[in-house]
Amino acid sequence: MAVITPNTTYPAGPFVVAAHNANIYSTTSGRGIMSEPNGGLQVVNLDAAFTVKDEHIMPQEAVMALMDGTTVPMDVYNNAFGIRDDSDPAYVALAGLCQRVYFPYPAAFASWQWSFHVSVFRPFMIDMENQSGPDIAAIAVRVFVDGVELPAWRRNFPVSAEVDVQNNTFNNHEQICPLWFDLTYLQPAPAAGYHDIAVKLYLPRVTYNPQGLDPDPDELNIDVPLSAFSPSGATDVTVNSTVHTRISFGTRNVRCVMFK
Amino acid sequence: MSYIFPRRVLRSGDVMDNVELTEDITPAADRVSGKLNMHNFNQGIAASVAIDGEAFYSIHHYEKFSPFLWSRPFVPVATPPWGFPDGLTATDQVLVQNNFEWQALVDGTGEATEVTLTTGQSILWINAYVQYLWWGFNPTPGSITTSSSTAFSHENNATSVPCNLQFALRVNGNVIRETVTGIDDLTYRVSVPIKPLQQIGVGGTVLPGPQDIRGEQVCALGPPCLPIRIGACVPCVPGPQKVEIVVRRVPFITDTGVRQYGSYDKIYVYCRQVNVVELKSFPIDSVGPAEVTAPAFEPEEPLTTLTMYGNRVQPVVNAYNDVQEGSLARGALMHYHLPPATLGFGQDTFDGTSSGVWLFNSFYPGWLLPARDTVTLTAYAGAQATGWSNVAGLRLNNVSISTGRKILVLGNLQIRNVVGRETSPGDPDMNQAPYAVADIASFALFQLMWQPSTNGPTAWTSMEESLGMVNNFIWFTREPPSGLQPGDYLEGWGIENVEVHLMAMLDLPASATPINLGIFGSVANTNNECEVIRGSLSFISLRE
Repeated sequence: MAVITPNTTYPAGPFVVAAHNANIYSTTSGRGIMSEPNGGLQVVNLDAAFTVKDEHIMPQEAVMALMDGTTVPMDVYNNAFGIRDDSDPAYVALAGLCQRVYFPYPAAFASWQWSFHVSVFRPFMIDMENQSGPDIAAIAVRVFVDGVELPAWRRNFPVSAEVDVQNNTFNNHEQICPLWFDLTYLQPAPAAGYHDIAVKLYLPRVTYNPQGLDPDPDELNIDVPLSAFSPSGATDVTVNSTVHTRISFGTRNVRCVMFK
Repeated sequence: MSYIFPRRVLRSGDVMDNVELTEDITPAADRVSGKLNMHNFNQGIAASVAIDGEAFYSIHHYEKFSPFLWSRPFVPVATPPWGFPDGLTATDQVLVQNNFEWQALVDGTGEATEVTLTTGQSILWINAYVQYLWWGFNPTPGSITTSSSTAFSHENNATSVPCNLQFALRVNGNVIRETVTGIDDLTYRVSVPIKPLQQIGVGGTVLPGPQDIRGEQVCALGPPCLPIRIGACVPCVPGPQKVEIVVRRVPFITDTGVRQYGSYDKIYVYCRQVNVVELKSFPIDSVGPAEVTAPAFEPEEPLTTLTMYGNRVQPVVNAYNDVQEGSLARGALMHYHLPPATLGFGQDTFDGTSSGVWLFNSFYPGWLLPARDTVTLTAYAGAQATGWSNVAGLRLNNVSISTGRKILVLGNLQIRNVVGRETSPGDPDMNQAPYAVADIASFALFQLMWQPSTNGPTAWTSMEESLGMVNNFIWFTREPPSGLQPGDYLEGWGIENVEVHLMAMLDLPASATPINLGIFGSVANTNNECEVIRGSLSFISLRE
């Protein structure tokens, strides 16, 4: 619209009813002090020094920020997932690392951020006696935004233990490996509606298959001396045990900051 | 105020009533006197309305560049290899207390790592960064006990003892629990997941069970050298706010008790940043009132040009043709009235699992200018060049700075094999061939850099406060010897898979020439190298 122009300035003489009415309300553009501001004010109507100030903006109409998280530790062992050998294992969402947000309008972008403290038992498996190559238990978390995985944000974790599969020995170095992860993904142009982020985990069973030659490797078992389980256990008596992986999450949070 | 309509339409022959005549004009005057809202503005204003620099948010930033001081003699100039990063103090470093109390990061000059601001009701979007280093690599100030190879040595036994640091954000004295880089329960010990398949009672030894093998304390950060970034979105009430990054050192609890700290058991914090973007919800009033009056008509008041137009209609018309900031109600403008809240954003990624991991081994050029900005284009090769190397091609080109803005840059890298190629001599008596050992004093350094897009490929400028470093903390993995001939060894592995966090706030004067942003890496010592598996680099251009 244009600036408001009065229909009449009420000059001396008879009172013109139609002109007065048009001053108040009119369907003609640029007329009517009631009609024109009904959704019609434009930049041309603003004072030359007018700038939009923070208090002019309805809360959450330009930026939105949400955070969720937990401080409850969580240990996840690989046998929680059962045995799956298919190529598309079922990744499971992690409590404290998921968030669903409603965007009431289309955004320019959303900044998804997620952080977590993590410690893993991830063995580096070797066969010193037969000089076989090493094998490393698989552990990875993936992140999905609106159900689509972001491959560049997939993360593996440090090797934290050694297992000699032939000599039945292991060394645990987990205490020097706990790490913190803080990652950011900018989602371009999310549409209005619900959007979600989910950090997911899958731990396959542990096998020793260094060259990948065995098409159907068994889950790794080693004989562990009883003394490993208890100070009063015998050192020369062993018990057959299954090697698992474990991932322990500490404090974690996920944030969404959306910009119009 | 929502849409308004006249209460009546004046018709010929109507009796002129002063109340009805007043109601023709005063609603419009009331509305433009501080009650204009989303119903009054056309969506078209979004295209060209002027926006105050702090309308959407305000930016508050603290940064301190505190470089590692290497053991390499620096007279008159130093060249790589750099040796060890510990042993030398400077006033800009922060010494972490060993007393398990949350501690503000205050350096030797008394300068605190904090941001203070005054807000309305807002959400504080916080990103903070620190780089820490556990001293003990440098054997000169300490008294390192050597093992089979000095490569394994650390005065404070970082090869087996965690440095046990926890960082967190603290807002107005309250630690934000969801940001603690660890587990609040310092006694938290997990089990070793090697599970017996039968009741442990074989061989005549009957024990309760099955039971687990007791694990180690894992409640804090373990490696001796990490760059850490923490973030949070914290709602706040109106008033002064103080945002800090704080640290505490957790005692290391073993099976036999709490490990005691030695005289050289020092952790220093180096580069550090706190960035707070105040996302405004209900800000403090800053706009004065704008008032337009259209006095009520009195009975018997004559209708003249002055009383009808000059005193009433004209001021209202003028007010609508010159809307003041105070004419708007709080929260008058909706998203469709507003231009984009930022001036741009961008992101680049690297996934080495599909394209192949990215190796680099160029030497860190040093921490003083002009050496600090040295960039090399020499790719990974046997001979180590000197200078920062653009990591995995992670860069963002042609980022506009045509108007004033602040650019928040965030980078992430997942790296591994921060290895040195030191060789243990082996032991002929034990039929053991020489083998590669992982030197924990192998360091990879990273930083963000920028350049005008017209610059040449090696003309970059450091965002030095983003300097981050990791070491080879996975020292224990190696393959068995493959033969018995001297030199016939297999390489050590370093599966750190550690996350390198980088962050900077770039505040440049406006320029018609756009800029490029990139992540750069280097290594400290001879035969050091590093693999990058995945990474991302993103920027957000914020209004100011």
